[in-house]
Amino acid sequence: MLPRGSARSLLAGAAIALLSLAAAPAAAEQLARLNVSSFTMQADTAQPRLEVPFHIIYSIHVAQRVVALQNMILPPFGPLEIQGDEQHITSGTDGTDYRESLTVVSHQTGHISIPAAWMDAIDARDGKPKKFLATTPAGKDTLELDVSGGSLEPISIDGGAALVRMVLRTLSFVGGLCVIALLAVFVVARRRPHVERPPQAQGPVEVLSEPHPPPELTLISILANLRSEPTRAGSLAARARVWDSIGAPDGATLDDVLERPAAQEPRLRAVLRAAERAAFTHDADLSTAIATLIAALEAYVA
Amino acid sequence: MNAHPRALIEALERTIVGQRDVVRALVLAAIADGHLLLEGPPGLAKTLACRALAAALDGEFKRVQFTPDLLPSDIVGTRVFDQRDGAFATVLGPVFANVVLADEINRAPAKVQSALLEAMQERQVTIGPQTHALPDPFLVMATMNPLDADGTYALPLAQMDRFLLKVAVDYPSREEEAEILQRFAIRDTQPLRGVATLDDVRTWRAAARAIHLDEQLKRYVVDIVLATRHAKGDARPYVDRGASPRATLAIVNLARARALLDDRDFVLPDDVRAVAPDALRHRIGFSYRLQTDRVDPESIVCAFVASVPAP
Repeated sequence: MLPRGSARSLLAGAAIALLSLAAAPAAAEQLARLNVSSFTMQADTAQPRLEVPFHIIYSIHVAQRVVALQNMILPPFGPLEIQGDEQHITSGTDGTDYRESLTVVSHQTGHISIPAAWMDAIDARDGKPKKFLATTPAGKDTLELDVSGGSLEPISIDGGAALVRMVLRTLSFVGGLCVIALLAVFVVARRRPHVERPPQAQGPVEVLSEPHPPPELTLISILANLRSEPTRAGSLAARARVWDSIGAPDGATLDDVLERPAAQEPRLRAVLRAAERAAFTHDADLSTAIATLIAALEAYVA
Repeated sequence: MNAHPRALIEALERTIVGQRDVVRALVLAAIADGHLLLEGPPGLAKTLACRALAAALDGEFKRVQFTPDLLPSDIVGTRVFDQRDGAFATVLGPVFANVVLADEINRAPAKVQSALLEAMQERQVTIGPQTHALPDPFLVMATMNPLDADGTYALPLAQMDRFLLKVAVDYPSREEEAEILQRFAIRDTQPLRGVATLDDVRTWRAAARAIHLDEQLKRYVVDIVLATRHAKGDARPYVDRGASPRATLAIVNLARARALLDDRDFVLPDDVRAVAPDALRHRIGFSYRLQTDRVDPESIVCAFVASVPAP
């Protein structure tokens, strides 16, 4: 027989996964324009006890007065079983406060890491779609919990037959969940065809990646090519290679590129600005723009 | 020496707390020689912004509150019989000003809206047998209140198209609200006067028109506008009509104005991407499903712009 909590945890996890699947495509088309002032997650205890319910609380404050906050996605809660979910929303002159309190219980001891919940919205400050991540009061993007107070509930195994029964039940249960999940995905996909997510939405996610400045050899090669072909085509090719070298996706603009962690070095930013100018300036300014780009590349390589 | 358009922005920001989008849109509209449509609740400094712009330019400001009983002659002017002279005299309407605020434009019936919008397009008004040119520069800022829709006359898409850009005005943040209290509770802030001249605006317009737009960017602008006409995916059921060629011109003019503000004599892809939503949001004909499905039109507009990769 399965541990009591495991089955419920699996069900809860599958339900959250299904909710996430259903919510993700909707986020692309129904993003609200919000000033998200704060988005926090915390547990009412850092050291919950085994089989003792506790609360995980998400709080959001937005500057706008809204009746509901959509596109908030909860993370998988791992071994925690969700026993209740309360949501409160209050609006006032200073905006809207949203509070979601999940009652959870752990059926096993040890360390648990819960990833951040997130909310897709258009950032009213700059008009760009963003993924707002919940953080703990300490500013971390995972909620760390240490469950104490006992050991795992022992699995009662009554000989080989019981073990076989348990394995078969588990397999049929997991199989059933997979069928339900596939059906749900099929229905959602039919009802809500995928809308291309605006590329700006990738910005905040990319910021989390490790910065990697362009390899020096690449820039030396770009510099050599530009010197041999100081034309519009040459500067366009140089711009494309500089963009590639810091991992900018196709269709990224200068503002997108300057936001990337790999582009924070001042001399590299000068290269990026000079490359943009050389690509789009008028013909009378082209030779000066290319000379500026060459000088910026030289300064960076040096 | 001409004033820089950024000086105008700084002057407006010293008068108006927050509302940076509105301030910037006003200056962009002035540089790009277009008109501005603002949608937002009352009390968000729309009138003050308009008055401040006129004052900063040393221009004439007129405000017209649109009501259901307004007549076209209340806007453009009329001819009255002068008994002393025994002849008709022309009385020019409030549209004859450099900056005109058409407050709650959707509260007046279609014929009044048409009178104003025709003046906006033609830059001249015919009263009786005489045609009068409107002042130059001539900037109309029209407002619409999205909250009280009862008894309003929605502007047809063809008339909305006359506005160069549309900006959604939102409530100020907590800090801005406190700053408003601080600034206006003590004294009535007077707009700064004479920051630039009407001649400066004409110079900016000429300079903006000369700003270089690369062929790749022309294709980029066209692709964005075409994307609104051939909506794909989830956006499709929500869009009845895409943007008109006026949108293409509007994006280009606004992108050039933005480049001028940034002291560049060439347009960048960022300019196009930044101004495109302002030029498109009032030119797309959304279907009834947008409201029934409670979809934010702004997300559709953003998705159109984002669906076209920048060069």
